[in-house]
Amino acid sequence: MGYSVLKRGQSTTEIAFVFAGIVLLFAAIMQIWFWGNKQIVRRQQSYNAGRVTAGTSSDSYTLQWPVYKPEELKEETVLK
Amino acid sequence: MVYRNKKGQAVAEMAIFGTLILLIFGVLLSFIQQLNDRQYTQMEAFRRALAKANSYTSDAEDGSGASVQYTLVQNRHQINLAGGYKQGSNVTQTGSANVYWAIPKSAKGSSAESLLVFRINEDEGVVKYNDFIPEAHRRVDEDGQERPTYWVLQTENMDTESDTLFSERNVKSEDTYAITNRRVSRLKDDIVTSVPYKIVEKQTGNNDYERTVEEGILYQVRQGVYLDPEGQYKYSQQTAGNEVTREKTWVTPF
Repeated sequence: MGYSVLKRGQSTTEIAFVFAGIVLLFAAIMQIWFWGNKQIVRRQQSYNAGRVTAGTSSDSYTLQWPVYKPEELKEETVLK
Repeated sequence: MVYRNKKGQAVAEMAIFGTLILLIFGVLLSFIQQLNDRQYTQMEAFRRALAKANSYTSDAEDGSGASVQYTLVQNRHQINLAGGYKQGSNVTQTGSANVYWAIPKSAKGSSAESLLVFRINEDEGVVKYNDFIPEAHRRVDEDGQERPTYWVLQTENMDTESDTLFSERNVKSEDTYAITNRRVSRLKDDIVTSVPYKIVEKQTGNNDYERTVEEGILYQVRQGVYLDPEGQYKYSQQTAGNEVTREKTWVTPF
């Protein structure tokens, strides 16, 4: 009897750990996805902000390119 | 016996579903990369068109600036889940922009130089529209009157031919202290991009009439793959026929 109860507990513990693992993995994947999407939005904002400068001929002309340096993907970003 | 079957069931489930989750993650990553590359190419096309139009200086004395039709083509390596070590897959992104920026010329009453610019990866080809259309066949004559028949230069769909060679070698050696793995891949990827053109005769007021006067290749470039300092695959005319070797060695001690 004691042996059986112990085995049942093992299964429950396993499920608990695995569930936590999957949730963590999923959350980390979503954070990376959000990070990727943010790059698109921020690059567009930066691009729009530089339009006037890029289109002003009186300015000593620079290409105004690239407009945005992507934010580095760090461990803290993924696991926060 | 029953309980023994239960042992490790959740772990086995995670192994199966975890693999699926990682596969979906890979697809998501490639999707992010594709969206970023597309946005980047479109933005770059417009900024480069602005720069070209603004900084263009013709040989004649009629000022600077031009009307630019800019086409940007970039071959970017993206994640290939089914590919070999550091192989990736070549994805073509295109962006185009039209910019008219020629105030000094317009002020003098002459028309701005009309340029067709093709930037294929790192190589740029500039074509003057008027070099292909003689004065006598332009739509508007010297007096500003429309001609009954005129010629138009049209670019056709770009042709891309690629010559790819990829090989991979895995070496595993084992001694009493460790297992050593060595992975080497070689990639040779040459791309020939051609922009065909057609000169077409048209009639004013008759949209149905069209006669092909001439056909040919407007711009053609052969480019080879190379690895830039940031570790990205890039293509250039200077590196045609180049082969990129990448390798990794790792040791697992006992």
